[in-house]
Amino acid sequence: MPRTDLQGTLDLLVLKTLSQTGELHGYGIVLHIQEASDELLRVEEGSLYPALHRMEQSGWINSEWALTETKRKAKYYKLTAAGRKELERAQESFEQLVKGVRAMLRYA
Amino acid sequence: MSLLSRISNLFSRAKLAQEIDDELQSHIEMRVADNLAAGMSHEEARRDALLKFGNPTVMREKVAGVDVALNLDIFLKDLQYAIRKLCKSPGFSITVILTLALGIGANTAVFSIVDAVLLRPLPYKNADRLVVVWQTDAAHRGTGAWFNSYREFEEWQRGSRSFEKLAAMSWATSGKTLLWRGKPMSLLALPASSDFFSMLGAEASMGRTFTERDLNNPCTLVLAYPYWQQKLGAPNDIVGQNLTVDHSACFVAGVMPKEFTFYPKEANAWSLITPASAFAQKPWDSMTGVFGLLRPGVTYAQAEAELNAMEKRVLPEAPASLSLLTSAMPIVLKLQDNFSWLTGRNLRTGLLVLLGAVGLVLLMACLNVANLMLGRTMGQSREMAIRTALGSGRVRLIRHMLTESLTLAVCGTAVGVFLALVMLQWFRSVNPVELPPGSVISLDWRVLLFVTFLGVGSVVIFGLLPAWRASRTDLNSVLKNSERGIGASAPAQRTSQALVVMQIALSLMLFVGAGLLATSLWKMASTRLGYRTDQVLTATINLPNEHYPDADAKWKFATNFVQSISALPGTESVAIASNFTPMGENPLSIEGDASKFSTGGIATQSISANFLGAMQIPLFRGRAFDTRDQKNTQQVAIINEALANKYFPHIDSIGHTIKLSRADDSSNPWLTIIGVVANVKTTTVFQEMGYVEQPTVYRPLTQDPSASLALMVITKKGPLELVEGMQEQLASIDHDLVLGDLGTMQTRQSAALSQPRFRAVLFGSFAGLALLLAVVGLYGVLAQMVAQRTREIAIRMAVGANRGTVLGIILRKALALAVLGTVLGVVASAIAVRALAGMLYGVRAENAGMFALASVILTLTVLAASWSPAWRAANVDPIQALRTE
Repeated sequence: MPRTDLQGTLDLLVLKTLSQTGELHGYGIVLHIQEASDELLRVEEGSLYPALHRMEQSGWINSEWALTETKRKAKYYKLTAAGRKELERAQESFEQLVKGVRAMLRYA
Repeated sequence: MSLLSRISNLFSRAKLAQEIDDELQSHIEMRVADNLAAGMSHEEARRDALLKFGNPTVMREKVAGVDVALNLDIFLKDLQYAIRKLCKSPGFSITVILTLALGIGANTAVFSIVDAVLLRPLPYKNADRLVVVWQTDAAHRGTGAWFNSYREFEEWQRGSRSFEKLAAMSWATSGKTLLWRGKPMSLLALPASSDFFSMLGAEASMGRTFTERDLNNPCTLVLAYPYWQQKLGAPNDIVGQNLTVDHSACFVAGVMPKEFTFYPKEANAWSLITPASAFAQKPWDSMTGVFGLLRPGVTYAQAEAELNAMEKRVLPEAPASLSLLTSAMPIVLKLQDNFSWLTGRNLRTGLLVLLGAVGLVLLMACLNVANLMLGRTMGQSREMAIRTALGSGRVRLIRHMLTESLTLAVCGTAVGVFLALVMLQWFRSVNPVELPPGSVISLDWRVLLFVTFLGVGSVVIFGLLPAWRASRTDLNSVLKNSERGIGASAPAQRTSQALVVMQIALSLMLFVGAGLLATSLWKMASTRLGYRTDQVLTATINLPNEHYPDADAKWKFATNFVQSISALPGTESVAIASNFTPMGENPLSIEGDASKFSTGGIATQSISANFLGAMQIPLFRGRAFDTRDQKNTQQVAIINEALANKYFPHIDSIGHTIKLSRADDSSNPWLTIIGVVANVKTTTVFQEMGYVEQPTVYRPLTQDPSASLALMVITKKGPLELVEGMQEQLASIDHDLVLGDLGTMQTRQSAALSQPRFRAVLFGSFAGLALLLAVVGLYGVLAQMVAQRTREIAIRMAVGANRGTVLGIILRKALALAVLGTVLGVVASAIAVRALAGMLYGVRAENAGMFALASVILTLTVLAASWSPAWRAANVDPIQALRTE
């Protein structure tokens, strides 16, 4: 079975966010996930950061310090080519999982 | 994070912590700002933000835990682990390190020499603008052929605008005798013009070099450091003293520093050319080398054109006898290149070829190590699979494997540099081959850069491939596989085998090269030269003009000396001559046949009456010189076969008369030919690997005396035993004379072959090294193959195959590799041997015999090397092998 732990799901959400919004800082990612999931998903904000740094290690995202609109310093993250590939893969894997679970639940 | 900040994070944990803090803090601040905008109070905003965030301290730790992977910590742990693993398999580690060390060490050593001779600029000021001026003609295009006349130098120095400085320096002088503390010593003082040292930007370490005032002194010397130190005993008060040289006083202006050298290295001192010297008094008759410092921006072509024009202007003034000069023109050459050329015609090419050969050896070493690493990682694939299952990313795996390769590379490079230092030290002390002046061998930044490049390159070549391969293992198949770690895929095996084939090919190339060079050397060394070379003691004597002003005095000395030496016990015969072999490029006129006039190319030698007999040069017709031939009798000459065949074909040359200059030159006598002798082989300046038989005219010393004499003593005793007796006799006749250049004919001949010998020995060593590496590589591949196919072999044997069949399988594989490698090698060699073209003698580069011989040797060695693994395969106990599955 593909990796389905919480960590994998969080990665998927972050990668998807960045693919949809381009460059974004950690706080922005949290807000976006909240919004895009119609408030259904709330990420524990602190735990986002270990994940972000881990994903940067794996080469899926790049980071850069920059100024926000309110002239505050923040670390912005961006998707890399490898990240895009990983996003595709994780998305597919997740779809499979959902299909599988649903099929299992429907089984009489 | 940019790469730069990542790198800085490696070293500053504090900086890392700070960054993490900043990021987390900015997140919290942003939420606080949003909360405030939504209407909360300050306290509420803050509380809410922290609640949503979680515990910042814990988060900080977690993030740091992830980032620390970047840190040096992990690298050090990897390193520790790698070292432990390598120590556990000492055979593998030592083999790899030694292989690398040999490859890198040999390369570093050879490159240091190449660097010193060819790359590093000469140790003079403005070395890139230093040039030498020779005379050349169409036949010697591109190289210098002759010295210039002093008259031309004077003209150039007076009016040339292309040069900042011009200097004359000649090494066509004979040695002088210095009377030092009562004892006579030989002194080779080369005449040099006043600008010589200032042109090179060289200062004296004691005293000074030449100045304008010295031109008024009859004789001014600047001493070379080695002579001052070794021969004179390093006296500190030498500057300002007057030395007695050839019975006249020479003022010592200074001593040059220890590191100063110029061509030729044998110079003991330089003496100033003054207006009173022979050069200035008879400028057309005096030949000299000319050196110059070009003005910035002046090209060689421009300088040549100017010098040529100036030369043509004064040429009409030349005396008629110097017909040679009209066809020659000046050529300007880079000083550094000319130094190499003067030291050895093939020095430059030879060094480059050696560098290529030793590069092949390094390539082979890397291929070997690559194979060994491949084999090792194949055995580690299980470990890699487990690591991957536990969560190690691909990058991590590669980094882990690279650390191992890196450790090996660093160790190998370190040992290699040490080896190189040892080799260079040996080279400096033994001096197997002469290097041009100004080549100081040392480990400079260029060489270190080269070595680093080699070390890093070898890591890339042999470390990356297995590492990348290891990271791509298919987890499931490897973990499921019950065989202990041997999951070698067919492609990996094929790579290993391809590497071995390449090694065999490279070995063949080196073998062919070594064989060709060794054969050339052997043929040159064993060529009969036409005169006696064994048991001949040699020495030179220089008779100063002051005490031996005329021919009679010179001849009287010679006869006295020969008589006294002959009386010494152990001497069979004694002969003297003007040189040891015929020399020169004289013109030739034949009486009565003006069409046969030759402007040059005739060698001469003045010899004592018993010379031909003592040196065993056969006389074909007529008679040798004897007591009839004195100063006032008929002027006679003996010619050699080459001259007879060229100028007197099909007729008897005895009785004809010739002259060693133009027919109308009355200063030279007509000579009657009284005998014809066999040719002797000599080497020329322009070709290192070859002998010529120059047309030669021999004259008796009584009629053509020489102030510098070459002495040849035939003796069965060891050379050292006679020398003392000879010195005594010499001293008793004239205590101001000294025997110089003591040696034997054999050592002289051997010295002439030092460059070819150096090349042959080095190439041979590289070939041997290459063969060793190929054997090790082959052995490894075959052993691996046997280990992997143990199961298959066991089954075969259980089903009925006998040992012979199994042996056959292995040997056939080895043979296949050998044949493939040999074929490849032959093709590559056929192309590569062209590089050796100028360095061969008596063998053609495309010598089929050599290729065949090398192929046979290699194939046999390969078969011998494969015997052990084949034997082991044949002795597999099928039951045992199958049981362990």
